Amino acid sequence: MIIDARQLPVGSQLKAKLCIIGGGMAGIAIARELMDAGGDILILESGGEAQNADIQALYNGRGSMTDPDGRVRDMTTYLPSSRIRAFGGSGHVWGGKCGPLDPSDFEARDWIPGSGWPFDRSHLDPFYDRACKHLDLPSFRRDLISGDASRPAFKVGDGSEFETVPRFHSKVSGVQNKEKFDAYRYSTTSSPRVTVCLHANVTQVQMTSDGRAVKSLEVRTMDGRTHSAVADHYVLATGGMENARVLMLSNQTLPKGVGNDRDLVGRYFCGHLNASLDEGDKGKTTGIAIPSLASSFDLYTTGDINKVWGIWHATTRMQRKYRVPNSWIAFQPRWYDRTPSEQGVLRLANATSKPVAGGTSDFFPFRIMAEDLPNAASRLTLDTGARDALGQARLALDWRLSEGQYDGMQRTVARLAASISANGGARVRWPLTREKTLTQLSPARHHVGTTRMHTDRARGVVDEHCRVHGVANLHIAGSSVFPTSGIVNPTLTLIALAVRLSDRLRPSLRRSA
Amino acid sequence: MVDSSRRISRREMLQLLGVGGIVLVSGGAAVLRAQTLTLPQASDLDAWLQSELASADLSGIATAWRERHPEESSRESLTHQILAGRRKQETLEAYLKRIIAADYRAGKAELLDGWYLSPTEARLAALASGSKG
Repeated sequence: MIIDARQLPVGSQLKAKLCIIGGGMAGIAIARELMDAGGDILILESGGEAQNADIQALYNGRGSMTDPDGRVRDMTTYLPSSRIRAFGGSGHVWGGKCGPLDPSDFEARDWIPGSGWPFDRSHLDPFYDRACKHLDLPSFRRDLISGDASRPAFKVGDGSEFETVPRFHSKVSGVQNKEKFDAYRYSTTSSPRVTVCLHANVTQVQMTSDGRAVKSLEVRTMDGRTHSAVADHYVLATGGMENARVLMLSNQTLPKGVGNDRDLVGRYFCGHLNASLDEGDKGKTTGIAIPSLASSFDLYTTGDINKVWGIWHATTRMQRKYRVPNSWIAFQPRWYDRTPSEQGVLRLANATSKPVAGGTSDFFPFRIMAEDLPNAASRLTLDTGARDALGQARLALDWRLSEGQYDGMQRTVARLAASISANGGARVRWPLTREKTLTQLSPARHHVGTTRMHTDRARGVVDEHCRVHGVANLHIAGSSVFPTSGIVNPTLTLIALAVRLSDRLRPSLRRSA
Repeated sequence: MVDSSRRISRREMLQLLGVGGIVLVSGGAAVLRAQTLTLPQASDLDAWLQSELASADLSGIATAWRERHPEESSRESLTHQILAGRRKQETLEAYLKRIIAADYRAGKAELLDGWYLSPTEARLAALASGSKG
């Protein structure tokens, strides 16, 4: 059932066994998992069924990104443009790209302070499989990259430093397939156990007097109504930035906000930044010239070489050997006529590499992304001098890029060049200077780390079960709980974690049946 | 440990590019001496260049190499540097493939006109793009 908070009598109290704050990809996944568990579920969604400029403006804020050389880039538009406040959340603009985090992403790596998840990749694998079902994808198998055994993945050197990693595109995305996306977001609304309340802004998580449990939620509408919501269990699932904001704003009982007694909420903000130079036939483009070494190889994650990008990532062995963060190199089909220099290097590489007649030979543009590194100074705070239409303090983003991230990117390209060229495999072009790299980094719409997970309350906002430390009945879903960013779009992982959280909550819903 | 205050140095980059120790790439003539040398055979190299690279535009790489290695501005110098390690009975194609792979493995790749290339490839580009006789 879908209801509208603007049409409820002022002062209404909504009751459920489980209340999910946020009707985005994660919140909906939890409702899908639990709608048959026996207890009533309430989803509170700030937006409506479609995007709306006034509601979206609640996301406005201040933002900046500071690079290792001290240059500051204005990121003010990033706050409202990198997320969507409507039923279905940022799924409306998500491109659908999916992949699991790499095993190394879960490890505590001594060369990356703050790294390490409370569990390893194998623990999450069954939940990844279930997340794939939500997103109408096949399960990810590490032994099958392209899905076509006749076209093996292109091998970089001896394969010890770089390997192809799988990526699939889900159709359950507002960009890929509106019908499938709508089927996903409305999949629970016919359940008698699920109520989706639209235009319901949670403006305060109200705590018991001892601060150890959530008592209720203050819910307000843009037209001035105030309601409340009461449940046994609450899941905060408003996105990688807004989760932190809701916790910090909820300061009636706990002055620093809920879960923020150690001043960790909002810190460790990480995103994903791509580096490339795309000058096409007018100049220089980052990429790789591959001579015709094989009559059949597959750079790509599906069998179709022209449509899907291919991804290489730095192996755990390579990361450990060179003490670099994880990184990713993504190829795409060339969209322009080859430049004379690209043709010249292909000729040179073919002439010195014993090419195979009829083999594929081309220049492939690429871009690279190195893992953003955990940094307590990279953070979201409340901008108490700026208020939204509900009178709530807006967010201020102070995104700090580290030298380690830039350094990792450069080292990775250098290793790729050495590794892939030693056997005559290809030639790498990287015409980016340091300044150009840092000033042209392109941010993705991924927000990670602001309510990070750690077993130790002094080092994490949520515990290994995604429960807010010290709060008995509040869990968090979404990429804000990731301790490290990895190098893949976060949606599959945040849904896997949502599925895992659902298993934890299911018994308590059953008891109420 | 990833140190946020630290920048990668040229020396470190060279280490990354190679599997062994540090290799100085600007040493010029002293770099490729071996005991298995025969005299340089320029004629088959010229023919090979004409056959394989005559129409290839490698001018940006050639210019970058010459600027960085002015001591190799002549055809004779470039030819000598390319062929100095060639073994008896070894075909030019096999030799070039071997020496280029060895360049990369030894960490001698340089960034030229935006390309990571071996010195041998850069010298071939310089010859193909025309050097002073």
